[in-house]
Amino acid sequence: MLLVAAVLAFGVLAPPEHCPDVTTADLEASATAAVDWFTRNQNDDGTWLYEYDAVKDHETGSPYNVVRHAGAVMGLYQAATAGIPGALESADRGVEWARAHLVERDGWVAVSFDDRTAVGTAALLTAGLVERRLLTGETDSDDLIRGLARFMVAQTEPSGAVLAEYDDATGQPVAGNYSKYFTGEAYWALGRVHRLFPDEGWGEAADRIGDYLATSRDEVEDHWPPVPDHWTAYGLAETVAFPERDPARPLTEDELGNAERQAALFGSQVRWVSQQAGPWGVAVRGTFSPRGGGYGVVGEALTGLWLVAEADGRLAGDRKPIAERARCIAALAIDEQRVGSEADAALRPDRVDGAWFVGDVTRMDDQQHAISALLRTIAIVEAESIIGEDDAPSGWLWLLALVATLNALYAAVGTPRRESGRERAALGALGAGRVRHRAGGRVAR
Amino acid sequence: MLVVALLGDPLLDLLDVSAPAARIAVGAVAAVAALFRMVARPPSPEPALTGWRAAIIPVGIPLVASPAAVLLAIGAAADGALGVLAIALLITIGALAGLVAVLPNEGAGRVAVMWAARLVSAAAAVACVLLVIDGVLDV
Repeated sequence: MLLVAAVLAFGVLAPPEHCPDVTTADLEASATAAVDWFTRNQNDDGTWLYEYDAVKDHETGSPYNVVRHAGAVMGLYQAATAGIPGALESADRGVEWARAHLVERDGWVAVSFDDRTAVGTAALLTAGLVERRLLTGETDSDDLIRGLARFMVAQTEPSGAVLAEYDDATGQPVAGNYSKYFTGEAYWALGRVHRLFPDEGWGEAADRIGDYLATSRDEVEDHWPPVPDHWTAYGLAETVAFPERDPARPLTEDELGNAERQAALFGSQVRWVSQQAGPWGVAVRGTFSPRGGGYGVVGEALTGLWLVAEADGRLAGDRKPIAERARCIAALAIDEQRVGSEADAALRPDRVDGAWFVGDVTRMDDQQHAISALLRTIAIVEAESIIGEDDAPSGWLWLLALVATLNALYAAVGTPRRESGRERAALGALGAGRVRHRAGGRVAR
Repeated sequence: MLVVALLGDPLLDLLDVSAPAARIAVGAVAAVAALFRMVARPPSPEPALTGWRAAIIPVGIPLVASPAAVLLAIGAAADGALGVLAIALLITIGALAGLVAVLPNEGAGRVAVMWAARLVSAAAAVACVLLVIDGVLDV
């Protein structure tokens, strides 16, 4: 019976988790290979190879996604900050393409492409431009950053909800149209702008969006289960560094709860993927394989939440598990990247080397999310000591579970009868005290 | 059971089973076992080893050290709750010694005790489900 229970428990419900070791050199090498993929596969106009089937050796025909273009710009600027050669130049060319698609209305600026003026594009472009500004110190994009930020504020409702798109035909935001991810992207971007220009009031909109994300987004926008939102993690990591916040307890209670929920959502994803990578994981966790972007967003979220946990002492108990999960997903992502001989065997090694594939297909944001996640994991790997403990449940809960499961009443009912109460009491005490022993012997009839 | 728990923790590390995953697994198994106890027939005192060895079988094993309890002890150890496990065992020893001394062998008293035992099993099921939830919501 014990064997059956153990097999069920540790064979199926909690199979081994496979988390390879990862070093700074591994992370840098993998991210560099992915950046090289971008630089090799950038078109003359500044766009990148969008979605590619390596077996059929052709682009899939999916329309170019301008939000992901802005995401690639942002990720490459992060890579430039990390010192990866070629990233800055490639990102700059991506920005030039975006600049050719700017629209100005009512004092704000946005990127419009294929009749779509999306908040996500503005947000990720803003985040990227702020990264560039911090890296180079050049101020020539400051007006563009402010213009894009004004667009995001104009799209933000009093509740903190962010309308996803602007309709140029009506001259109004598209009412009732919210995006699963644009809201978090705007939260992050406005947070970055607030830190860059702390006296200009951008933090009010960022705080409003952050509060909405923490308290009502899932309910208002009808998301169930709750959205695991890596952009929210990015945003929270900015929020903890807002100059007006208490450095020791920078988050509000709602933001704190949101950070804990997001850590749980992403942590459980890592647990599942790492169990799947275990010795018999496929048998009990299936064969679903995350795409590069999937590994990436989980890593982006956890690295952001690690920064949050480092900053806010109330999350000290989550620091260590978040760090372990972030390292684990980064290592698993590196294992899945196609590099070297794996790429050389492809029809077009230049389109394969450094990329992540799901089936035969890669999409540019697979590389972008992975780059961001891998580079942001370096800080965790290099942290000399991870302070904090595993966030185990309350001792009282364990005590209740153990005492109730041991269930002295149940055992008492089954205790053999003896002549005197004293004899029976001794038998019961001995039995409960010696439960670690196994014994054989003659059974009484 | 303390010894098993002490051995179980390194075994979980060897198997690369994280503490939250272990919590989910042992919580789920123990919850099912507790639910089963709620509806199962009362345990019979027989068969039993003779004399004082009856303290080992059936009192020690399987009445107290049920598979669910052993797994739960391993889970507690993985969460660093060995002290809590020791306290739980002391409470169980004390309660069992006191209960069997005064427990009525038959009649309404025995029915009442069995009802109370099922109530405790219900509490075990709830606590174990909470452990599962805690594991799922952990990082």
